[in-house]
Amino acid sequence: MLDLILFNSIWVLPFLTVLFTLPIHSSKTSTIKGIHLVSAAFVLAISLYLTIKVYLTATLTTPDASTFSLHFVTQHLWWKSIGASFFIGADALSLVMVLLTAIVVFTGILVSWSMQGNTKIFFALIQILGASVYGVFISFDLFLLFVFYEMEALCMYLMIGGFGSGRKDYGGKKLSLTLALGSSMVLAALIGIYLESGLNTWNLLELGQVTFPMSLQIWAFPLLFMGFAVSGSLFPFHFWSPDGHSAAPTAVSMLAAGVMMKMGPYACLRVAIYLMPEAAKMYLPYIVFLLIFNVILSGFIAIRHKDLKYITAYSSISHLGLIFLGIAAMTFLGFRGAVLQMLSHGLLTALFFATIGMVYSRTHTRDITQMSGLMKQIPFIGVAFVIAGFACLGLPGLSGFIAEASIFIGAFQNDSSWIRIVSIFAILSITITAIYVLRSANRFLSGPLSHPSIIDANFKEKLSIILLVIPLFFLGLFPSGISEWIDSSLLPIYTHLMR
Amino acid sequence: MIPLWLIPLFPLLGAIILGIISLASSDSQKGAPEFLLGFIGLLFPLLSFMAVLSLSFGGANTPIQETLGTWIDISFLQIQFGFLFDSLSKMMLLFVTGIGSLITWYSIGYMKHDRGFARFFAYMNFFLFSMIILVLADSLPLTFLGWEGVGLCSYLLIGFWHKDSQNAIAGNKAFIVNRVGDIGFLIAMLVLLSVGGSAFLSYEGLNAGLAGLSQAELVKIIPALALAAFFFFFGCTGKSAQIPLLTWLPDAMAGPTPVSALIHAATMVTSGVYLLARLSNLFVLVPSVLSIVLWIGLLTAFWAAVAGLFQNDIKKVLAYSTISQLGFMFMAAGVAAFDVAIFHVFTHAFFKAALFLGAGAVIHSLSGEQDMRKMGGLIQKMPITAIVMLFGFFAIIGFPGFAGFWSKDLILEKLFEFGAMGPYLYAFALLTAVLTAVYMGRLIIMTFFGSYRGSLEKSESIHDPSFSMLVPMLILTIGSAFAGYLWATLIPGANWFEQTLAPVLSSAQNHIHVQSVIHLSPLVFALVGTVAAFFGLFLAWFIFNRPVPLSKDSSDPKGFGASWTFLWDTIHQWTSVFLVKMASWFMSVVVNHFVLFVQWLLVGIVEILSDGARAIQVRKVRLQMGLSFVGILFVILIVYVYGGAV
Repeated sequence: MLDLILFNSIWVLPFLTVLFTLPIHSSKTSTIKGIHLVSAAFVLAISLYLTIKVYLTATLTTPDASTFSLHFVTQHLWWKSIGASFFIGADALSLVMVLLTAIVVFTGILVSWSMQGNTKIFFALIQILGASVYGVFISFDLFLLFVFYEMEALCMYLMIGGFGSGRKDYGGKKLSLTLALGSSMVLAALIGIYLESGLNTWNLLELGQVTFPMSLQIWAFPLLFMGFAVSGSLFPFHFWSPDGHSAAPTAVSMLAAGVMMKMGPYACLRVAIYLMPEAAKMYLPYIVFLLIFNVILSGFIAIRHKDLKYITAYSSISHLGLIFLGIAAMTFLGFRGAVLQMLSHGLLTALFFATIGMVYSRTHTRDITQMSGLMKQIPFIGVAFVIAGFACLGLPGLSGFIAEASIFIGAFQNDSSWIRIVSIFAILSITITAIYVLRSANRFLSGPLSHPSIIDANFKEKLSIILLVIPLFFLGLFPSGISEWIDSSLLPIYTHLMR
Repeated sequence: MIPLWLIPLFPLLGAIILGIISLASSDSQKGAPEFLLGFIGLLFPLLSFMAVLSLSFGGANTPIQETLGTWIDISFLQIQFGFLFDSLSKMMLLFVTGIGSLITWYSIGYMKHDRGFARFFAYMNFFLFSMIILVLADSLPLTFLGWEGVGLCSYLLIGFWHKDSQNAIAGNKAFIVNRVGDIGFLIAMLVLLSVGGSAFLSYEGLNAGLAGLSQAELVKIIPALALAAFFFFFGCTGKSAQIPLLTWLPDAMAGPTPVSALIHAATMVTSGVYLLARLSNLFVLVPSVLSIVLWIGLLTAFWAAVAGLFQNDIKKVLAYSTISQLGFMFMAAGVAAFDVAIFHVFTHAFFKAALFLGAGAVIHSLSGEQDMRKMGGLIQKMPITAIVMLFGFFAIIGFPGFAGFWSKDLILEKLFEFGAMGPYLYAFALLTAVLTAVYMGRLIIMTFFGSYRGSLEKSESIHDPSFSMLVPMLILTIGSAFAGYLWATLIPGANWFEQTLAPVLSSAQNHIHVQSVIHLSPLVFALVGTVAAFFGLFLAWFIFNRPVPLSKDSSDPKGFGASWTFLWDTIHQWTSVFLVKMASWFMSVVVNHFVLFVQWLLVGIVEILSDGARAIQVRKVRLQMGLSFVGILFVILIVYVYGGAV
């Protein structure tokens, strides 16, 4: 019972915090920030506790291949006439994604400590954004999932429009409109599924037992998959992300690239492939021709950019392509690699954006040609950036290598020669990644010093960097425990796909 | 019995401790006391050397295998975090940790008063850790962990003085060129995995798996194995600076000289040779790939020797000579004489380290001067350094009795015995050996003989290095004189090296039988080799013992751009750098603008539609009313026709 309350507080606590801080006068910024930080710390602690707890008990039982083994199920009928219910719970995959989100939200609040503007609204929006992301990862009712999914896009627009920098209006609109396009595709497909099943329910587990006719799958799967893939910035729907990320404030960039973009592939796996495996088998081999554009095109574009945020944004698109490669490989190892890449890339890209934000707040530029020699002045931030870079280019011992190796091996296990050729091209991308990561690190960290008066990270910034770096190493050195555990969530999807 | 994991653990501890000190003291003005840091930095490599020594000579002579736990466990892919200590890894570890300790000792004096003292030793320790993992690993993925680790350290140490961004660019170049090679390594592992499952990824499983195949099965998978072997070798050309990926090594000389000695001469660059020896059972199955190895080795050795003739930077000459010597090692591997290749790795580690440390002493006393045109006559002012370098020099050119004499002669002999083609290969390699004597002779003559040509204020401070730098140099000198006697073909019974390696390598080497056409006694090879060395020496004396034209261009050590790279940098420029630039231009300008255009088009259509709709809604009231009227008529019409039964 206690665990159930704790689990529900993961999404309730952010809303409560927002309500609690509403009456506080907005001039008392440090009080507001303190409350939000404590609340985020609680959520982080709770999700860590629950993850460890479930992990420890899960190793004793063999995973169930037929359906998701959910913990902490909370179910209430919500909208009776259409059968939508408030149905949340968590399995291994949900828990690790929630934990990732909690880490990013907490560190995001830490790094926005000295932000300018209306603190009260900014932090409230971060909390709501975080809560909606938690909601996506824990809801197993498709209607509820869609509500959270939409809420997140709305918060994103408000944050970028209100607190962004540069072309914030353009970036924010582009992001939210493109995401809305994806949402409308998702909604159409979901309604089709709801009507076709005839069960008057949106419950994912119950719908999973239905085998939908091919006449539905043939149009609903592409809509659902591509609709979700928009937030995973799959080509040709990738164009929102560079402008959106670069206009967003640091914490929002961290959340958007670190967590929000992972919702796409997460939902593709959990909903689209799980519900319509027959169409998935038909369509997924063609997805590789889209994702190779992600991997190669964005990699090359990143080489040419000078703005650190654009470089990281294009790098994210490129690595999201690898996640989709793992999914499109349709092998168990590929799925596992995709999930590991979600975690790994979520952490490292959050670290990237965090360090970029720290550099920007000191030098007021993100142009790598305007800065040089910063390593001497800000070694802590510089080292963090380099660690993120090496994780990104797949150095063994850091998380990126494990994830990408699993994806490549998984893709190679598929007999299709197209997928093998594409995966060889995707392997070439590790060199492209090395080029842009090292080039940008070199440009602004070495050479003669350009900003002599800046100082290194303060305690809060150091704490947030350390919080993000530790899991990068942990995943890289001890990947087996967590990836075995995630299998229990991937197994139902995989058995569905192979039925 | 010492557990194996202690060997890599020591330098890892050292790296962690020094790294923490370095980060913690980054704010302070002075930094931690150098004496203490140097002590820590040297202690851990020494401890691990002790551990290797006691394991090598204290225990039984059987291979030790140790599994720490599972690193990656993914239903189809199980990779143990395990170590394998057999005679091959023993030989490698002995000189990696031994020479590593010596060079760390030397660095204490060399890096004195450098602001990044702690950072330097942290990197050095981390390098040794990665190198030990590379050598000690019992599976390919774990070797790859070390492989990338040493690449990382190489990158960090080349760009160690990152205030000059040229150094950092040189580091980038090294890392990126190596990354191209790494693609080969990764693809090769994928191919092995798809052939034989994850069992083929561990060395033991690979050897057992290949041995257990029947002839028919073998024929079926030979193409895949050849592909795997080819891509492994491609990976090796990156790490060991062979054609076509050789350009990074001369630039890597931007790092501090002890780094060049340890990483870019003695240990890391030889890991490609080690990998070939480790996978010897795979390579002997595919002679076609071995012949590629042979020819790449031959060409690289020759090519680099020619390029070495035209360098003015003392370290660049040594860099090219390293590439050339690595070519010799690959030649040996190409004729399936893996033990000879490892033997040359072993002797080369001693004499090349001695040469580099000597060059470092010269550069140190000339306060950073690397241009040989501004040296000369140094033998009078720094005699001990001169003796050290002369010993290294005699060893590398194959002066009778010195280390290189024995190992290089063995390589030439094996080449000669390689079937009908053998004598031609031998002649080509011999020509390269003569060139070696010429360009190394040029280095010695320009540095130590003649008269001093540098600036006067620098000449006053020229002196032999301090005690702490001198002792490691002298130990290496002894090594370059006597290391060859571990396998001296002319002396009966002096084949300890061969015997030690036999359990690991003999099965592979016996697999290939190529009858030599002409049988000659080893004495003949020794004589011809000696004559070649003396001939090269004579040539060098004849050509270069004359006044040196003064340098016109700046002689400051450049981060990158050797004075003449013999085409390969140009080839890279046009085949890869240009292509990547073109591709990224195309992607970001053409394709991206196309995407933006489509986006603009969509937005335009939406805007036109919404404008149209709004125009009708808001302004054209009469039109709206008209349309409503038409609509009502339409409804009435339908009701009239269908009689309300729709």
